[in-house]
Amino acid sequence: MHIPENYLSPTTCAVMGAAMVPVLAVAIKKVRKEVPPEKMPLIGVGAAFAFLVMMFNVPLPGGTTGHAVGAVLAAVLLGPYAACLAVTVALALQALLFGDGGVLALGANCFNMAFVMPMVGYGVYTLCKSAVKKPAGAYAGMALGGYVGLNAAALFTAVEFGLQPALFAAPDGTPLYCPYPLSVSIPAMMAPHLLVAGFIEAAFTALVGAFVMKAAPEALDDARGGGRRQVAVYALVAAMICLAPLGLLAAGTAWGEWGAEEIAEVVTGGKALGFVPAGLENGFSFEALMPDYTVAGLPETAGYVLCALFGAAVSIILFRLLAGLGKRRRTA
Amino acid sequence: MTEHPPAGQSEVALPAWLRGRDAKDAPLPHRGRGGGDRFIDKTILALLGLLSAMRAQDERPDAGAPWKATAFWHLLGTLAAIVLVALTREFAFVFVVLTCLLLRLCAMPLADLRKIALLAVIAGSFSFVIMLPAALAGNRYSLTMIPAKAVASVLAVGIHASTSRWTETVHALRRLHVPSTLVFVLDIALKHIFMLGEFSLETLRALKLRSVGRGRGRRGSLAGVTGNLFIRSHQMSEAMYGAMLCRGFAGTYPVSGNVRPTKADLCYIAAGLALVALFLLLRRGGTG
Repeated sequence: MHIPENYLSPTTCAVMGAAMVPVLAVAIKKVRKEVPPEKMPLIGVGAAFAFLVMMFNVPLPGGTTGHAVGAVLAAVLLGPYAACLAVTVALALQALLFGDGGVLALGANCFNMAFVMPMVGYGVYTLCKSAVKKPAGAYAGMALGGYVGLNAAALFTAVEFGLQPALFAAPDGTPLYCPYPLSVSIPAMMAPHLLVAGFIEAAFTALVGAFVMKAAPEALDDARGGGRRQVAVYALVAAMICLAPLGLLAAGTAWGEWGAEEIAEVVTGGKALGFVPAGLENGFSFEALMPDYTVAGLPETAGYVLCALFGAAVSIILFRLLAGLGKRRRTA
Repeated sequence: MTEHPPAGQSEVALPAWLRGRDAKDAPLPHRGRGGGDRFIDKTILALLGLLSAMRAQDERPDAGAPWKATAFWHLLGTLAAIVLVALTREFAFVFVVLTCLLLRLCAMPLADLRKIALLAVIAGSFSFVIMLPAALAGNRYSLTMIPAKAVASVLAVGIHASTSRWTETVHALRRLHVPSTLVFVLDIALKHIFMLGEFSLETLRALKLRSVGRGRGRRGSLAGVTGNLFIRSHQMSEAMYGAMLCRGFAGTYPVSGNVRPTKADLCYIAAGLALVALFLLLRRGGTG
């Protein structure tokens, strides 16, 4: 679910980043208030925990494996605000040090996975727990929270993708960033999450949560400090978050002319009818952008020199990779 | 499966995975379809990769070399390059940035080069495949621009991550006025990812060694490993707070260090400004 660089416009990234600022500010404030000072390192260690949990592979039926996000688990174990901080830091580390998810898209990724997911998941968890007073209620709440939290995050991601073509297009209608409208992005994102990933998250959250509840219940109470009363607040936040995409959706469909069908019609009505997919292979558009070693928008000589440098760099890299491969084989 | 020794050889036959130079370097034994612990292998491999990457970046010999820009300026430059690449609509600009990054990549140690090139190829081809349906609908802009931009961004981040120590990056973030609570959390997280990673690696290895053949309830044991990881983190954080108190921790996280740019920094800043100038020039040319 990590959004890579350049799928969202810089404006969207800025808006999502700005949305994360008050969220983080509230989280830091809440954590400072609720978590006693001796528990402060726990958030850092919790971030390390959240980071590592994303690396754990979970077996899937059919022999394959997948991995959980673990944000709802972190919310259950550390409390929702500490989880928000911990997952934010884990995502920042992934983006900055491992190239997983865009640096600019960090705000959006944090919003989806460090805010929406733990808050919604925790809201569902507390509701279930207060409805059924037995431990079974808590376990069911964890599973349901994991499922709902993950899917809420996926829905937000899909909406962010889907709004791009409507909001950021060149004057001729060419989308500048993610080119798929809501009608494509929502089904494409939601189907795998509703059918597979949600269940992984649910099972993972419930199993690990149940284990900790049985093995070390005191750790659980300690970590969350005293902030377990506000069921209504979490439920409200969860409801608001769930309703927000509906508003965005309503706004999105107002730009009717940008729907997939219309764009497709415009294109097929024109010269694109009878388009040969093979003609779109690698070299075709690249050549069009740089005919005879000139780069559109640059003087001829500069373009030529640039192409030479580019070619030289690529060949050196390829040569070094090949040489390294040969060396490795010889030593093996 | 155990292989039989050739005729005339009387020594005890060892499985192939034990006969390598070192057992830990050899591929993990394959248990076939019924084994069901492929997820343990995969997790172990993922953790091993993470730990070796962390070790490698910590032992980097040329980090802080005089010809290298300080991590602070390098981080700023990387962020600026990513922002400009995301903003531009001119392919020429993306191409210039790509060329600069590839030239820098040429001069990197082979291991880093291989890692970053692989990341870039994956990012580029992934974007290309994602953009294909849009291209079939007639949108050719996305097909070239987005993969090229994705490759440029991944190269920029990859080069930054593997040329500066991660502690330096955290330090640079503090100098960028990121709130101290976040920097503190980041710093602790980085250190504990390594320690907790080693802990979970040991646990997973133990789990693997103890579950030979067909086994049930491995999903449950994974939950146990993760749960133990949490309990362990909890204990570690308590121990850490005690250690911090003993060393006079007062709740603040001051940053010291040389703020004056070095010669390498000045060269780096000049190159960055040239890039910004080119961006503005191309932008004016594009719209005018």
